[in-house]
Amino acid sequence: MTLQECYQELGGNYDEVLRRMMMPKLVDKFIVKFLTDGSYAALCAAIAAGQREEAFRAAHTLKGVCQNLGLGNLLCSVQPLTELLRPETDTIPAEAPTLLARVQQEYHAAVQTIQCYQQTRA
Amino acid sequence: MEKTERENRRPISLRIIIDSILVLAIILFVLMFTFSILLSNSTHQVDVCKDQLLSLATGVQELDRTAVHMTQQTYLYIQYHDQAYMDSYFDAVTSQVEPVLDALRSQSKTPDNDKALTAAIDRFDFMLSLNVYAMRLSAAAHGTDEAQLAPSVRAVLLSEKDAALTPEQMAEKARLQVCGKEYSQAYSYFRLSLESFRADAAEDLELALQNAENSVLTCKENQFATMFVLLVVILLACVSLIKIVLRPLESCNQSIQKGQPFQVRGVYELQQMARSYNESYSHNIESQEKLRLRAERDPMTGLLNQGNFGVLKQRLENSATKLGLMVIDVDYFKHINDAYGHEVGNQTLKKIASILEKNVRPDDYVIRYGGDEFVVVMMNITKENADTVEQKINLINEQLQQPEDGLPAVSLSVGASFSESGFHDTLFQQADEAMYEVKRKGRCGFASYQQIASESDADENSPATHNKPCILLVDDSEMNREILCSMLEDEYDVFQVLNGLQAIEEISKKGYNFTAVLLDLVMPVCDGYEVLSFMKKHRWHEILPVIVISSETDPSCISRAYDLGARDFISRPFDAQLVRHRVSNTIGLNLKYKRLSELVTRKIQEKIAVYNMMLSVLGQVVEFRNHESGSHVLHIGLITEMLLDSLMKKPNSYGLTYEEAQRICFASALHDIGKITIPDEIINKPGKLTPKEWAIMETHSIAGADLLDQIEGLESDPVIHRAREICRWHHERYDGRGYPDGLVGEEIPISAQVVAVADVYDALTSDRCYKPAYTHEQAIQMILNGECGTFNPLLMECLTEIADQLPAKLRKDSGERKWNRDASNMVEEISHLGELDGSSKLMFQLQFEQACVNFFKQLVGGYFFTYRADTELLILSPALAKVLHSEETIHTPSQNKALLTRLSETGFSWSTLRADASEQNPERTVEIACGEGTQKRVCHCRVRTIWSGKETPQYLGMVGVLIPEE
Repeated sequence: MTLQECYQELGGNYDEVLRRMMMPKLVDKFIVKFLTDGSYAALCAAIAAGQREEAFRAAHTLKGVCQNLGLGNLLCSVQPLTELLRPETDTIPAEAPTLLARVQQEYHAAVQTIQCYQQTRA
Repeated sequence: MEKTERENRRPISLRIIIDSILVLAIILFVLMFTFSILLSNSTHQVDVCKDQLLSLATGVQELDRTAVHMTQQTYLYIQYHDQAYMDSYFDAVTSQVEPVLDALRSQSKTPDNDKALTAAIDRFDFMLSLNVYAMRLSAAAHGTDEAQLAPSVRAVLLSEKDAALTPEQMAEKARLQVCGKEYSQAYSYFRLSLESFRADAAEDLELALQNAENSVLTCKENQFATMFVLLVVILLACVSLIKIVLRPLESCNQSIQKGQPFQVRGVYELQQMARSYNESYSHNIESQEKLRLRAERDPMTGLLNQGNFGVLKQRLENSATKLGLMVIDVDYFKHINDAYGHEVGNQTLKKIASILEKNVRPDDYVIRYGGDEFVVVMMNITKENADTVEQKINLINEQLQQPEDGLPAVSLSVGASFSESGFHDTLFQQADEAMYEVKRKGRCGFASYQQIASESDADENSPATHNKPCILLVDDSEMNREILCSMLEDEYDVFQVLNGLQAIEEISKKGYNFTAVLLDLVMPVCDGYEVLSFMKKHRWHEILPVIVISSETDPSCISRAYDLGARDFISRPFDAQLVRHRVSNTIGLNLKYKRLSELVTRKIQEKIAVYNMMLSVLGQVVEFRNHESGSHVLHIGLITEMLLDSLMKKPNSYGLTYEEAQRICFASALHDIGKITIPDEIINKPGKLTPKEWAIMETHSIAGADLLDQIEGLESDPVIHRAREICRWHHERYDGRGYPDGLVGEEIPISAQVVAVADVYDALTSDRCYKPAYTHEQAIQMILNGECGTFNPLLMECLTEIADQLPAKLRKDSGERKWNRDASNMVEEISHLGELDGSSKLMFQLQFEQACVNFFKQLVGGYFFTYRADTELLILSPALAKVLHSEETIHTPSQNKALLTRLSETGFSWSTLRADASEQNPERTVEIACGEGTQKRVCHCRVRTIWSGKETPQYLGMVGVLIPEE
């Protein structure tokens, strides 16, 4: 699988990411590094523990990472969750798990794609 | 080795040569003279010998002939008996025989010789006696009268026997005497003896002749030998003179004609002369060179220019002089030009030039190499002197950083390199490298190439030093940090921390090390806002620009960040180019901001100082007339200032700004100016005034205001405006019972209210002609109790707050106000107004523009550029940069030679891009040729200049796109 194909599956624009990062090597480096990024795990843990502030921070970070890496599909799912978690309340809003489920789904899809790319890249 | 010996040997001197030739000539002359004398002697000897030989032969022959002749005469006499024969005989005896015999005797030199001659003469005499005897007999025979006979014949006596003879017998006997045997024997013997004598004498003479001839030959040989020697000597002298005198002289002549130094050759004197000439020649050349160099100088700084440097370089390339080269760059000079203008920039350069010239030695050369770059060529110096040079540079930097002439503080980055023998190609490069090393280490300093080289040899294994500008990156996401790092690490050292708390710690510890902060907003432990608040509180935001990096899109969040002092905002996703440009722009702008702040602060300080002085003078003039203490005006000013300070911290601060408060303080000095219209006797009356007097006294408030109204041209001056308020209304009361207009409460301008409180306090605590001074506590109490009139409760609150500090403040010299602080407050206000007001609007605008730019980028195929006039930064899109073979970011494109050349190849110049454009007509299209060779095609370059929307539009920059022709 090429990077372009990988980005196609991730719902991103490879050319745009390449223009920003300037070198294919860097795009490759960071897309693979996404697999080790801890923000998703932190988000799940925080929601499970009912810590809204932590969850917001993690969602926010994940959103930023998605923007930087151009992970379009995942970004679309994280954005509403981040905004949901932003208002300063004591508890996590009831809609959160639903939105989280979408995030989880997209996240796993993204991880799978990237792993696939990682294994089949030249 | 051989060469050195030859060089060390002293060459032969011309004097020695001349002396030697002289001595030789004298010797040879003496020799020649001697030989010629000897020769003449010998020749003479030869002649004498030859003469003698001749006379000998002649003498002998003559004697023999004479003997024969006499015999003949005798015989003839006997035969013919003629007296004539006898006479001829004796004639021969006397005239011929005696001289011949004398001559022969003189030839006889040896005894043998003598003996032979004597024998011959004996025989000759014997023959003569026989002849005479024969003639006597004959005469007797013929009976000749004796008287006719010669005496010697007569003397012969005839014997008796003879006398007895007959005449015939006698004649016969006479004939027998001459022709007889005896006579012929005697003659033979005579001939023999004479011959023997002749042979002997001739032998002796021939020997002598031989000797003399030999001597002549020897003399001649010697003479020839001497002449030959003389010839050789003359030849040698000529040859050597040609070689060691004439030739060198000719070469000197040629050198003079060609204007070259002499060759050191020939005799000692010539070599000496050549050396002296060469010395003065090189001195002359050097002075000529210096004069020439001095004649062509940089017109602004008076230093040598770049062309001179080329000439100097060439001259030093062939010399063996030890020298050093310094490359000097003025740090951040561009910002001085930007912040203070080119005039100040030029002044600064002139100052630097003159300081450099003063600090170098007379033999060194200071050159203005380029805009803000100088070069110093140090003669006769080695790398061991680097420390001394460094000390000197440090002193110069100290001097430049504490300017006393009003010019901005600057510093120099100096790199040097040293050479052991003359100028070489890499020297400049090395010094330049050293200079950049200084720049990397933070500018303002000195480094020598040799020092760096030795240090880097020593530190080869130690970790790399941090010499790039350092940026603090604050983000909790490792991924984001790494992405940013990869974008920035080429140009900056990126120091990473994970959250706000760590950031605050780092900034507190070593904030000055950082040139910018990249700050995420949403972080655990301590978020970006807290970091910004901390920085604002401690005024870090003024010197350390913060660029917010966040995926935050909520405008209120972004606006809050700007309000807290963030300078720029980079939203996600990160664009490597954009990030780099934004960071470098922010750092550049921050520097410019700093310079501007300095400038504004200084200007305001100057202005305030003048204002303050003038108002104090005016106020004191009034006081002097009132016979007041003279410090009243200053006290009022101070109390007013403190009250206003306190008032401004209240929620309702009457919309006062620092600037406004300052104006009120200034204006307070004029509060009693109207008193100059009040007669002396009322003003200085001890004790209470009568109601009529009071009425007159009260007019001073209106009189003061009118006075100020009458000053032409100052009606709109804000300080005069405030002063008018204060003059007219500083005796109004909050309850409406004051004068002149009976204003109530907030009808009274706040300026007048504050000055009224200050005036009352100072009047209470001062001695007046009508009352003694109250203590501070009494005065405060009296005011708060309303004993001196009713005041604004808010001001009473303020007075209570400042009451504790008042006495101490007033005790201090009132003149020592902290104008600096006021000035910096003002600067802060100006900057707030100018840059941060409406930051959220700015933010939206920025995002909008970014989106537009991205859209158009794709549309035009990527050939576009932007140029900002304030930072003079030209940013080309990657595609355009590639077309122009240029960097993507170009600083001061108008001075970038590579770019200008490239542009001229495409058929237009940088200046034409902007030419003719105005705010009304901001757009233009130029046609340019792009591409190489056959690939060349015509493109339209569409440029839009950007202008500020003020009354007098200012040029801000331009954007442009390249559209290839279809």
